[in-house]
Amino acid sequence: MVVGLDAAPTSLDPRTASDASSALILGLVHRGLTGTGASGEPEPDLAASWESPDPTTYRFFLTPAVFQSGEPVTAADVVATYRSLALPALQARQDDALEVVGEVVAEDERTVRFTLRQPSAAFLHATRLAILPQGCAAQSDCRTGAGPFRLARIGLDSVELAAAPSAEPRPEVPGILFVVSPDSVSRALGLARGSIDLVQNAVEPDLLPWLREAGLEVVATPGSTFHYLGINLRRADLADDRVRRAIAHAIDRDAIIEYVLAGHARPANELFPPGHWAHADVRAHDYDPERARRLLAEARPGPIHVTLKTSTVELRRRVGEVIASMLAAVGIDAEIRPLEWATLYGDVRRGAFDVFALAWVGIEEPDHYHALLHSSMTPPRGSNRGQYAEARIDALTLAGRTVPGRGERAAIYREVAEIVQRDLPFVPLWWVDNVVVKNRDLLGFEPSPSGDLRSLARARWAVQRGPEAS
Amino acid sequence: MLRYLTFRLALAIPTLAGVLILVALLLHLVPGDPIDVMLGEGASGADREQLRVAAGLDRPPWRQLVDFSLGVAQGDLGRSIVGGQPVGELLRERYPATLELAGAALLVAVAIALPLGALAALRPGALADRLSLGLAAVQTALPTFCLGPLLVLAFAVELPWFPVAGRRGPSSVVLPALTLGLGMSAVLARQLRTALIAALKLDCVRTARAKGVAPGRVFLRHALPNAATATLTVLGLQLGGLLAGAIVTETIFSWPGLGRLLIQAIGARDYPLVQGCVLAVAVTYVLVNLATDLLQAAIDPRLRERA
Repeated sequence: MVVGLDAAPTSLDPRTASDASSALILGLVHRGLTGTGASGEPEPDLAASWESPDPTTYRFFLTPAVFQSGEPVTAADVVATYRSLALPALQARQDDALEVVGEVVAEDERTVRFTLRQPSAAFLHATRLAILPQGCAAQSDCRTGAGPFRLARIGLDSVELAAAPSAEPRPEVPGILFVVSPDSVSRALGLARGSIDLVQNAVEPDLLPWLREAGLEVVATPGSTFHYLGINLRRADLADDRVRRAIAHAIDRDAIIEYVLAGHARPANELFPPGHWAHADVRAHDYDPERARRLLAEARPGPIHVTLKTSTVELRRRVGEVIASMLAAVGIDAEIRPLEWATLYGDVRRGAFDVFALAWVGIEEPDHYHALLHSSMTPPRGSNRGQYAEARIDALTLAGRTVPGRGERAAIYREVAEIVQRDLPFVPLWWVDNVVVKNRDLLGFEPSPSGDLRSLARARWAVQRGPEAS
Repeated sequence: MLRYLTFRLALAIPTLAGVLILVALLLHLVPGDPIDVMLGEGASGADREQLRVAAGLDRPPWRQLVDFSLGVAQGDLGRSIVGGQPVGELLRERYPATLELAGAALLVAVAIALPLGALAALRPGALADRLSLGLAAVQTALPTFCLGPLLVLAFAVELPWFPVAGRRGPSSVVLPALTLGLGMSAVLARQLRTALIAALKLDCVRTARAKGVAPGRVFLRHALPNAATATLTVLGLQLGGLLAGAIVTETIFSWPGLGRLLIQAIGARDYPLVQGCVLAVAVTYVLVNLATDLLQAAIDPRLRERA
């Protein structure tokens, strides 16, 4: 089976990988203590269960599992993996939330105890970190995991996975070949020809009708990737919340979703989509150009000129153009400036922008609001790029880090979402769907909201294929 | 001869140094930070300062360039910031793919341009000439990002003769080589036609004809070598461009060549890797130009004497 990727993975060591392609591949090779469920909550994976006798102690009980090398997964492996994060030679890029981990101890063969330096509600979510065998955890580029596929061959533009004999249950497909195909048209042609069997979120919406006609199956499921407009609150005019509300009311999101995104998105009013435990179901700023004009007239007499920075990716640029024209219709003179990624990202991190369009991908733990909104988290420390400062948000996002109960945290983050929707430090746009284009004969694949490909371990072919066509 | 070669190679050193300095300067002037791009939005917990020191980015840009150049003098191109692999190794992995594609494209270009240019020159204004002119116009008007997918649609999807993309097996080079070679052949054929028409009017050709030399022999022995020097110059420049990486074609066909490596490196602000790629490209250019000049000297005794 061949999966097409739009970019090459940068690292195949789970501790240093930070790009989407690496994450897709490594998700099939490795398992963590926990996984992430559909509602964004941690669920058992290598740990069958866990307990937290006090807010700074967590005890995980391992399920019987085997590494691809044939050795069983033991508490010593977990300890070795978490300790390896501190090795300077590895340059690990772990989750923020793991910084609170003080001590990791194997209590017996199957039990691991974590002692935290301070209570952390986000810690549990961070335990999805891939567990490596103790024999190779201290090396960089450790390639053995406990997942259903093992890394069989790493080529220049391809990564080949083979079903691990140790996996229980054993995957039905003998292997998966990931090929890098950087051109979007070329990926579509590969699908049409049958040399690529599956592509996720890497086909332009324009090409979908043609691919359907060519006999491919398009599966779109609601996703959690959140697109938004970031706003620089240091600019006097944009600091006026009436102006920001006017921007929100000026954008006809339904039209953009229907005509530019081929219907494959849902309008968003907050970071977390319905179904996530921290979803707050806040009220929308409806498309209302008349109201936008009134708000602008109240706020300032003169015209407002802003630069809208987007990436040079064709679809992003087109969305940017539509938004700019919608803003122009209410009297905001918006000039679109598409920038190559490193430049755009550099500008956004430096705060060199009026308005930018970006997305948050794979955010599941609402503690992210702290990095995004707390007044101390301006770059380079955090992601509060618009310099938003609101005392209530500061208090809430700090409280959300330490309050242990799920229900209390949910209440805190609901309030955060409501304040955000009132103040609009960024303007929410939409959650894009996960769009998978795949060979009709490939059965049993179910897209996940977070966009991982783990269900390929259960996929199978409708017709038996020879080994060369696997 | 040896003195000439040494001179030419010595002349390459200031050229390469100039290219390196210019590229490093531009690279550091544009915004974007390698560590930020590498970490992306996900890993805010990583120790950026430590990564910066490990990648040598704590040194001022001029120092990075000096250290890089000192390394190059000792045969060490440094390490990629993103992947950590030695830059030399990454270049060695990609270079054969680039050579293969460039060679195949050159073959395609010459195989089309030689007969087309010759036919056009023998009867200027006749059908072959008009055909070659029309073809040249079409090929120039059809950029590779358009021609490539069209060829794939025809010869990989509708008629499944060749792979859509990738570099697996000899048949995979056919479509990318055609895409590049067709575009090159247009310019080449027109250049050859012009040079041949001029050559056919030379005294030596008239003398040969008057002496009763067979037309084929007149063409091959007298006209073609005279037309070859100018055409070789164009060919050398085109080949240099190909070896520098045919970025668009490599992207369309997922061809793991130097051009794509360079683009990825620029996108990631991977300074050592960009400099390594640029150095490889510049060295290639210098060598191809030298080879073209030597070849011309071999064909044209007048150039030999001057050298």
